[in-house]
Amino acid sequence: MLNRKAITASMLSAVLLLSACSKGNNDAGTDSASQPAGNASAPAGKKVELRMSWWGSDERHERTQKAIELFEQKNPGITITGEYSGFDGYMDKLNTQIAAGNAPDLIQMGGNIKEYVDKNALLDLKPYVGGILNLDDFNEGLVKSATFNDKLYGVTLGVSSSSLLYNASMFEKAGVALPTDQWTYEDFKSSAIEIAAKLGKGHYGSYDLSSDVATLASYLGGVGKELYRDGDRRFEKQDIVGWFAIWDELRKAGAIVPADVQVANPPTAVDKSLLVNGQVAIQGASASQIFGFQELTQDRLALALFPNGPAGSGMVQPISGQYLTAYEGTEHPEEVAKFINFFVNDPEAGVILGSTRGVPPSGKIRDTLAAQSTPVDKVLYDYISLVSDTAPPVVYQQFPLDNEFTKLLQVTSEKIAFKAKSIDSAVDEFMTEVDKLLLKAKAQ
Amino acid sequence: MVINGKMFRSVVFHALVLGCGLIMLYPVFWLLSSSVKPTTEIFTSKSLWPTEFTFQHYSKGWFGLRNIQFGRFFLNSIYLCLVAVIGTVISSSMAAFAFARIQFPLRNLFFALMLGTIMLPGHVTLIPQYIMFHKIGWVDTFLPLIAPKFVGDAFFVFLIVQFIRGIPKELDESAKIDGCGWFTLFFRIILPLSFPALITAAIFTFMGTWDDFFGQLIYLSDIKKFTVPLGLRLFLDSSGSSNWGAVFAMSVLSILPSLIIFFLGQKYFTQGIATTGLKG
Repeated sequence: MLNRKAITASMLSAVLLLSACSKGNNDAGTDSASQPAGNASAPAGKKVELRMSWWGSDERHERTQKAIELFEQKNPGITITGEYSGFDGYMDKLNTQIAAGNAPDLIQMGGNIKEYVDKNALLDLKPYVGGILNLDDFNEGLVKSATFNDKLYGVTLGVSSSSLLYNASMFEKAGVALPTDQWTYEDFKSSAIEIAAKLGKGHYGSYDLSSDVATLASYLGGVGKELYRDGDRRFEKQDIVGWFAIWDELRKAGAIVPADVQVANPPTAVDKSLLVNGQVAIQGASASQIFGFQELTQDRLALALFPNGPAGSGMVQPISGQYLTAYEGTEHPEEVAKFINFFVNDPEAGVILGSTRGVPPSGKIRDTLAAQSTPVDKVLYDYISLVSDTAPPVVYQQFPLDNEFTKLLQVTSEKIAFKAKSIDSAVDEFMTEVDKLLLKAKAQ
Repeated sequence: MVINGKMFRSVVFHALVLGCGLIMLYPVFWLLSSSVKPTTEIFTSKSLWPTEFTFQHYSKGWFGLRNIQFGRFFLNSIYLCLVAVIGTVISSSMAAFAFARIQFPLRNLFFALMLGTIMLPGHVTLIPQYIMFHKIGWVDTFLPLIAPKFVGDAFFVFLIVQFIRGIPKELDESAKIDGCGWFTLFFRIILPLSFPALITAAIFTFMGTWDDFFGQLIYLSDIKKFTVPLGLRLFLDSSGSSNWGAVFAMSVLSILPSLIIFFLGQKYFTQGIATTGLKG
């Protein structure tokens, strides 16, 4: 008896549920049916709605919105809705949107642009170059960096360069001369040792940069080698041994951050870096990061080139830090291209945006901005100009499977720093693994 | 002597507990102190006591965003949490009652299936779910975050089932003899008696929704619909510069609602957890 009642009850609820579902479907059906009608009437009024997504913190949000408002004023009929957030989760959200075919028309993109090109998620902007989109003011390397298979997938928003970020106040406190444009690894070593010695326990001349790919690449350039070119490594075992020997010497002299401390306070995290609180004088960083670091300390921070080697400078020309890209599925590619052009070339927009995305790539905009820069801006602009002027004009080739290579260097460096392996045997392993990576890259 | 020894032990015990408590509270103190420190001092000074008190982080955090105030994020979060709590409690308690008390065909199979959904990692369903909600046209509304709460949450169903199983069956029997049907039995007998479990589910849901970042990030795009976790991240750019002071100031404010809810419900909260699974 009870059982039958229960069955009836559950049947009843199932029926209710089903009808609720079908009602929902009907609603959605009428919704989507009415939508195309709305769109159809839109072209008559020439109303175009675009979405743009970017990540950043409050200052970038504010400036970007102001630039968007300026664009809307100048181009009645086009409205752009900003979808902005912090960096956490930005890429995850984008991936989800792309999977669902719902990505914004304009997408701010970082160094991982290739990944999205491979996913066929980005629009080829080449057809608009020279017409709607003017890139005359951009140097060729910047255009090339977003060009894949002869198609242009993004426009550089800001350039940056790898650098040594240093705490100038610590140099002064220790009475050590500041780095010069011509300094060598000998200078680097003696400065680091002296700072550590003069400032006492808990203070170090430099972070352990033996695991930093950018620094290693410049070192190899300085000894007349290269990290990678056209499918092969361009360095030998003794180069890497020489590299780790420098850091070993500094480690034994107590001039660089010990491995355990470095793992707990990685220089890459601005809130954990010991440079900010005056314990470490030098670390590696992307030059435009100086803003974030300088805000957190009253010490004076500055940027230095990587030390020269016997073969001169191993610096690499400034590279694109961020791109503005267009979604492959956008319905208004022309308006999108128009906005990108405005965003990177319009002098008014340039003034509004400032250097919130690194140093502006267009030379004209940079000149306008230099006239009204803050001291930190100036340090950065001067540094970027210095790198452009002094770095050898070779086009840097990134090691393929970049993430795996970075990891490999990190592991090798830690094995040596934690004394798990001698330099010689760790480098032997490193070379074997590098060759394996190269084979793997070729096979792809 | 005996009393002295007892007192001594009690003093030591309390000092120890207090010490451990302080250590665990250290991050909270740090957060509080950082929210009133000048930006240049946050990561450089080791002292918890700021050299100079500043409340500009609070005003900057609250009013600092263009066209929107942080209060809006609080209202959105509170709305989301309240609806989520109501939905979860109603749907989960009904499902739990059915599983615990009603004999229906394939009950055990359905129960196992339901438990199975707990094991399913959220990442697996993320994209299909997003596509589904996108097709219905719910993306950039609160619905994808609210609607699922109204069809029950496996974990809370399980929790409440365990609790209801602890309520003596004799109560059901006598209620039935007095002429109660399933609905009156549920509303008059079971629901009031499982109050602690319901409160537990409500608090967990509230805190889970309040702290949820990823779901809200994925589904909400318009800044007017942003919630507190999304609002906090607006100040953070790990690849560039962040407005740490504002993040910490707003974080301090954002832990207040959870704190208040927890203290209000604390009595039931511990009761709810302690009594589930014990047969009465």
